[in-house]
Amino acid sequence: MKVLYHLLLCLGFWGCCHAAQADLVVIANPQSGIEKLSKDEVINLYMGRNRKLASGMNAKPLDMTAANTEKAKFYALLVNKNLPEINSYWARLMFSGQGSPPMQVESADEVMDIVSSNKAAIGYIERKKLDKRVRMIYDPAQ
Amino acid sequence: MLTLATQVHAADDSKPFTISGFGTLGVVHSNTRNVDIVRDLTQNDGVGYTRQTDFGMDSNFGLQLNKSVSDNTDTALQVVSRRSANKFQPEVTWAYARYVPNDNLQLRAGRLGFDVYLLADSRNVGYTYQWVRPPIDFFGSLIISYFDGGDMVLSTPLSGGILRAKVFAGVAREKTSTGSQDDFLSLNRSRLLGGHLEYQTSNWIYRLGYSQLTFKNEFPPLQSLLDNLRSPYLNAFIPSAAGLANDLSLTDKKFTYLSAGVAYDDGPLQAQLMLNQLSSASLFFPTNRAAYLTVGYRIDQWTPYFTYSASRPVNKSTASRLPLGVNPDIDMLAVAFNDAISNQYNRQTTFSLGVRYDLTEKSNVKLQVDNIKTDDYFLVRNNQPGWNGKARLISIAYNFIF
Repeated sequence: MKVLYHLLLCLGFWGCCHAAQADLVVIANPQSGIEKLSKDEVINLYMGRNRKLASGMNAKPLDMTAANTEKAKFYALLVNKNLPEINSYWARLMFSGQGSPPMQVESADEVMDIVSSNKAAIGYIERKKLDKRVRMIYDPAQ
Repeated sequence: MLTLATQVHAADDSKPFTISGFGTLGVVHSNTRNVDIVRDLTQNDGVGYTRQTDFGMDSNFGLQLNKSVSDNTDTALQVVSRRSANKFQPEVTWAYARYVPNDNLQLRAGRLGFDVYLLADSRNVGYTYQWVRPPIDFFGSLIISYFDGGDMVLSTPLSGGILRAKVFAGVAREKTSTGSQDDFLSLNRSRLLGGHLEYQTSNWIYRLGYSQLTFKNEFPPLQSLLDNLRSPYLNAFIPSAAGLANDLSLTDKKFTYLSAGVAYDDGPLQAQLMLNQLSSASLFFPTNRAAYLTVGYRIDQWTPYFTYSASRPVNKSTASRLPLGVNPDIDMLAVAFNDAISNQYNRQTTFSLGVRYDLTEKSNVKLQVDNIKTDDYFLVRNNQPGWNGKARLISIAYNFIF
């Protein structure tokens, strides 16, 4: 019985965290011409595999500095990886001269500022921070 | 777009270059003192015979400078200190300029990593993979880590994934241990050529590769045998002896690497299977094949993993083609000939169990146990008479990046 209780507790915990993670959304500039991105497109952009979007334009993804907990949430949601794994991935590419991680910014406000003034910039923010200056292009909850 | 470019540029201008680095502090203990296990063939001594507990096998330190020259062009310099033919003397492993005109093309020139296999060019960066060291049976025979030349990568999206083709050419520079103390094979000016085809989807990477190295220099321990085989005295009796020497010699001989690999990466699960074949146009180096399978699964900060790796000689025939029983000197030569070749057979099997623990976002510590069984002595050093071919290593490594 105790085992079952723990199991339920774990499931509940997992459910709660999953819901919390889903509060992040990916945004772009309203004039970017990007309506929606698929999960694979977001993964390709943030893992540095492809910058070119189906629309033909090159996107510039923005990432958060490691101190930011949204970053951990974002990668858990996107590829189910923790930050040491994401850092391992980029370190492998960087130290073998194959690429470097997305541009790092300090805060969600900075993400909003850059995305609202740059057609190519893509960022992730908490859903509650959404406003008219940007367009939501990927919603993990959907 | 313009503002972003300006901002990126501003960031570059404020910092003339970025500096980053990596390192490993590793300690290995062997249960036998009858043999030295080495990380790869460039190491002259390892753990066991020379030191039963060793700090030098896996420890290394690397520094990298990156400088962005324009939006499409950047340069990099990397220096690594590790146990190799030059002991721990720092080596320049990277010094290149890269030009990326668009998403589909990348050109580089200078000193570049030799990425004949997946992970081959980042094998010094212990932080980036789950093991303490890349499987010795597979990566241990790789004697080149960089070359001077150029490479080109073409890539294109293909049905949800990315297809990449890479070609490279250049000359090797490094030295590798010959198996006897203070005796090295110089790869200097040996020509290198190769490429691979890679297809990557969200969770899978498939890669097929081919590379060839044309040796410029002779393998030093062979020299006296070659001189004997080429002596006019011997050729008066055995006219084929000089031809045999030419078949055995390494100078101007081609050495080829064929490889195939598949890696699966899905959240906490990582798995890799790689296969390779090393062969040469020299009688001296018989064809060897190797493979490894590794699986790891992350649970919070812990990633337990296992690896099975093995290398095998493909064909064990050491017919020296020298007539035996005619003359004791010729008999001795035949024995030397057979010994030279059989030293290049590579039959070793390793089963490893380990766990990686993520200490911080930029450091981890690993504990690994390797059970090694060796039947041919290509990948080991200083093997003593009476060694039973078995070794068990216990390794702890602390890895970091900055």
